Amino acid sequence: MKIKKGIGVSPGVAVARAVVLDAEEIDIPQRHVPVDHAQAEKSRLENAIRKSKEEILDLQQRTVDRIGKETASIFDFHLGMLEDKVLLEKFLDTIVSGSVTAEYAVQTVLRGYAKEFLAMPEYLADRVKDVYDIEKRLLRNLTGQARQSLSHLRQDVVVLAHDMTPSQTAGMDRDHIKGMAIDAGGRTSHTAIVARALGIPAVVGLNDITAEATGGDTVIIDGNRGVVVVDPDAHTLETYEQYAQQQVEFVHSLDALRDLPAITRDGHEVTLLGNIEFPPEADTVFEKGGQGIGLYRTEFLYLGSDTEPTEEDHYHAYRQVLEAVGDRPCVIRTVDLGADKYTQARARVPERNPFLGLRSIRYCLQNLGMFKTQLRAIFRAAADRRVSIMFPLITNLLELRQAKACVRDVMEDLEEDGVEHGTDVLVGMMVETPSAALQCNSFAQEVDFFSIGTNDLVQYTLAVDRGNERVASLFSSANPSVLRLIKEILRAGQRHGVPVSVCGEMAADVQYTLLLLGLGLRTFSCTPPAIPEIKKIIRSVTMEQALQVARRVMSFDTDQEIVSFLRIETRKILPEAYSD
Amino acid sequence: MQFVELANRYSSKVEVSNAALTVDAKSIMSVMRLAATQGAVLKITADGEDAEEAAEALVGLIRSGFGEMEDAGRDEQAT
Repeated sequence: MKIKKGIGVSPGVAVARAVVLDAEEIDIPQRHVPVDHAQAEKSRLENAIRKSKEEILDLQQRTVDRIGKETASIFDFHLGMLEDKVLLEKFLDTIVSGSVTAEYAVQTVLRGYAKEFLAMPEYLADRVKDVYDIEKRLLRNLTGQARQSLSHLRQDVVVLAHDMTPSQTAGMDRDHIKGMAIDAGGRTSHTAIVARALGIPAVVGLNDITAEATGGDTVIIDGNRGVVVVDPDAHTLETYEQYAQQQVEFVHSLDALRDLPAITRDGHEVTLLGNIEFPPEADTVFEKGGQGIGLYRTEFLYLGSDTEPTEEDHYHAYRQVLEAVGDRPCVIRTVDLGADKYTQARARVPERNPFLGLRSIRYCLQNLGMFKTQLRAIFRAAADRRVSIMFPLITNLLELRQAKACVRDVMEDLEEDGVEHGTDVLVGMMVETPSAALQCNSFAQEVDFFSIGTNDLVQYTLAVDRGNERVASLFSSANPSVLRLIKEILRAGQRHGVPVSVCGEMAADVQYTLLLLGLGLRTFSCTPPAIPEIKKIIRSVTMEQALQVARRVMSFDTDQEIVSFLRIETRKILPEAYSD
Repeated sequence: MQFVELANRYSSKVEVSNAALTVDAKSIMSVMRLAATQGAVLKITADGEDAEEAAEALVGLIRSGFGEMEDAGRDEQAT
């Protein structure tokens, strides 16, 4: 049994057999073989080693021919591994003593080495890439390659991977995947977003979970505490199965809140909206008691496919969402791409610092064709109803004015072309950069609404990369400087009559609800599964309590004090949200 | 790599140790485990027909500052 601690990013508990993916989505299905198969497995392995050696010698020769001897020397290490007699002995011993397949032996032994190497000084740890490479090559030569597809699974599983890309998650078999555990990533990584939307537990930032588990292992994923247990012993398994049952009951109790209003005990109304990435999720928002869509992330139209979406592709997606929403609010955010495969693949020269680079609204303003295509589709889809358009990552007024000018241009074009389009359009912006937050009073005079993107606001204000597991613990929505900015934005909104919502992860976290209410927030937009719990706490407090909490919090100096305090206050009101 | 390749040229059994471990010098994976960095003290033991030449050759390689087990271009000073 191995217990690993990471960052819990999606709540819940799952117990299932693991599917362990390497970077190329290859997984190891079978583990055991009958004892008399050992000889056959040994031969398979020896053949795979021989074949792999031939491949590498060939690769090496071609590299010498085309590039040069120096570069070809990178293969020396690979060859050295394949000729290593100690390694071969280990493989063979594992096959015989465990009665396992050659694949399983290869994976276990090499990952054991990988784990040791990862703990070494940097230039030695780099060799881990070569170890994984040889593993892939040997496995390919053994199994003749079966790419694990996550889209058709026959049984319930939990997925363990180094990282999960949008295209992998887009195709996932949602019925059978019960949890995720990822080496990479911080609290607001893509995995976290998808797991929360699906309502399955996820733990990220585990560093080397893929080296600790193999396909077929029983794995417990505890998204509440950020713990993953590989191969649990009987006692642990039983404890967790009970705990999982309690969680299911808790979630069911929250479903009863669906049709009840989000109103504090002393009668203050709060609006609860949902964040979505894909059109089918719109229904989930309403199933969970949301009153509309506060954030429709449209970049998934680009990330989920290999080709650029056409105006019709955009139109169909928006139409689907708007029809599901009816006359309830719907905020469509224009494309927020950047630091991802789409923009980096199209960059003439890859950016050195993509998070501060040509992304999001900047990218759109430099690619007006693409931007206007999206805007046209939004206008056409909203022909018979109100729609709200929101721009991400605005950092200065000129940018906002340029984006608004594009909106006007598109409207004029549609008028001229005689195409039916929406005329009741609200235009707002995300406040997610320090510059936007600090100039919020100026911005408030030029938009119809604000939405505070706390994920990016925290990232830029604290200068922390939320996806970097080495510094992920520095990322905190409770940082006093961030809270000051949020307070300012809410005040500017009140001063200028501009509605403000929070659509970042902070809105989904029950520990921040009292604080946000107390600072003046009246509209929360979060992932649908979180809506019932947020509603529950809103219904359990008075605004006076919230104001007191906010006042206390703003007097503290550090994230830690604030988090502790909020945990205590929240627990008093919603003890069942806490499992320990 | 050079170290391991050189060790493999001899018929004798060759082992290399650091303060904690002793491993087979002919096995790249085993030698990696020593995590030997600049300034590390290593002991080389050889046993067999060509034991003396093997030991001398390997010590010579380290002393000459080979670029093995690290990025190309960095010299390692032997102790």
